[in-house]
Amino acid sequence: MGTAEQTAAVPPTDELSGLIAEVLGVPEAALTEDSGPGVHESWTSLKHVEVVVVLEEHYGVALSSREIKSLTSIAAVRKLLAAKGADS
Amino acid sequence: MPLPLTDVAADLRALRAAHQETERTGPPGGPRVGIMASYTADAVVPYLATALGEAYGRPDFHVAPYNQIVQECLDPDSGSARAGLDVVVVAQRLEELEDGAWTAGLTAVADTAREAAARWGATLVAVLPGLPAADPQGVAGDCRADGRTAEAAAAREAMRAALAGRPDVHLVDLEAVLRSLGATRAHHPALYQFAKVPYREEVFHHLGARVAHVLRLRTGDTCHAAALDLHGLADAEDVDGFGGVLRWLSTAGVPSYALGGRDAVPVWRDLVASDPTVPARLSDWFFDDRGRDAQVRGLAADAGLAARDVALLERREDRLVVTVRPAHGGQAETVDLGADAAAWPARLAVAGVFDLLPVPGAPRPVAAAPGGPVAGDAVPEAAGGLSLAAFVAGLRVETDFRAARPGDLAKINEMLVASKEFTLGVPIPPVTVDDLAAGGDRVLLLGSVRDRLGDLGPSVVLALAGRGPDCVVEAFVISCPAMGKGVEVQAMREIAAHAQAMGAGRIVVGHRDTGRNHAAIDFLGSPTAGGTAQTPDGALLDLLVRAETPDTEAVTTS
Repeated sequence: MGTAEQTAAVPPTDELSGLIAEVLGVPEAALTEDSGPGVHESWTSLKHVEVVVVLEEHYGVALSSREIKSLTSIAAVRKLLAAKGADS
Repeated sequence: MPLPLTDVAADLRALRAAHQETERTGPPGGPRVGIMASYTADAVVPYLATALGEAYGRPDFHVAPYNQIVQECLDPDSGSARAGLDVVVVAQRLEELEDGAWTAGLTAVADTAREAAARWGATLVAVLPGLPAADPQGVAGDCRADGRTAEAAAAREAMRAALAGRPDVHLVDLEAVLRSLGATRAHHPALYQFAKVPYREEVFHHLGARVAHVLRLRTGDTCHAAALDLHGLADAEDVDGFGGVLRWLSTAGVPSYALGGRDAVPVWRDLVASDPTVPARLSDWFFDDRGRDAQVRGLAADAGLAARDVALLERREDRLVVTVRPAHGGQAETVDLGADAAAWPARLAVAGVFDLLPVPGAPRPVAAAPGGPVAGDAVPEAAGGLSLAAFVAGLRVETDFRAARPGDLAKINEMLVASKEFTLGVPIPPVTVDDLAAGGDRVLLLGSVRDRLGDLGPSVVLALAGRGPDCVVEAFVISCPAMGKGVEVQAMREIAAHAQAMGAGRIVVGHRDTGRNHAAIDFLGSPTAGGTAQTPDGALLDLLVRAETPDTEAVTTS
């Protein structure tokens, strides 16, 4: 399982990255811990909304607008979910 | 055909995935469906698509920029006007209208949308807005005849009155969805603040289902009779529940039939004993050795219907299940009314299996001219006299441009990356403090926009560079909330003024088609831009707009 400390170049291969890859419609291997909105070309603002929706659905969390803005990478998503007690 | 029940959890992720999968199956062959909303409504697309099912082929969606319903309807060059739409879904929230003028605002949107749909030869599905989530006056608002909720109710009914009964116009009530889900489960304040998405995914699921429902009803996809299979009714509670269903069907005017094998006769007797009006509520009943399918075919023939026009209600284990067959063929669909017999009538009503659209009383409008409006046509006046120019002027938009400061860089760079709709599509590197200090013939401008509805804040980024006789526009970005309000023209004037100050005789704008920046490309190619750009003092400069490809050398800011 990936962690927030994972090296950026290493593709994350776990449930979280799988979920995000599914939303973005890209292979999981195309994502790294640094992938995020505006960084990965498929991660558009609309897709970011979908990512938020999936995170809330899947992990049963509620995100504030500040937290949504803070999700700038998969690593950041992982960190936030961990802080909310959700196991990603 | 049945509507999903709001108290039954749906696998929304699976629905979205199914839609994503069908999108990979090739070009759509179904109707062109336009979505115009005052908020970000893209989330409704997968649910509307899946709810329409295979009835009409995979729909082809065109989602207009958010909060530009009137502009899309009035501008003959708008994306929606040129999309060849078969269906237009229009969803205006009250919260995006001017406070204190909801009825006038909503009615204007309704009239404008109705006239646009008629011009385009499209069917209009207008979404009656939900009541706002929170009343700032709290409980005190309940006591006011002119309070927010009262005004919202009046605006909704004015819209319904303006559109109901008109041909090729259907209404879908978002409030029905919000009410059944509950306000807390329906609204998503954080996503609204972040991306103007006011509702949770479940709302879009049920809204999509309701829109699809009226479109399917329009083509006769409904049931005209009910067959109640008495086999398997277990106890007195079941019998009472069935009696309740029968009373509901009778009240709704749905011809109903009881059927079963000979072993169902004791249940039939219990049913009649519990409610002696049962026989009078039924068109007929059959308890014989024919199979059930034969019984359904027989009752359908007696009623002058096809077997697919008959919904079958049957007990399955401890539940009551309704099976319907779509008018277009395909697999039968079921709706599970659950195990609570007392709830069966209400759930049957919500499922909409026997819904019928009213027959419009008004004559059909004059058909749109073949091919619809063409570029260069005058902007048509709406019946109420509303034109695009008048609408935009009424917004009283003001844009203040100023040279960017170091404190603006974060916002500017965010806009350069995040803006997808109105942007040139030519990547440029992030702007740095050094770029600001470079001076010379380089100009970086930030435009702030406000209109009578509020302050939109920093909304425009312009990056210009003097190159010999040319002023090259390296970045021309307008944020979504500011689009379609005349800010584009004000920005062009600002560009022209700076080009003139640079001594340039021509403005050069390169763009790349990203697939999403058609608003910018269309504007640059529109008669408004027209090959010239006018300075605020009225001077005209030549405007060269050129399309670039990824192979073209990227424009840089340094």
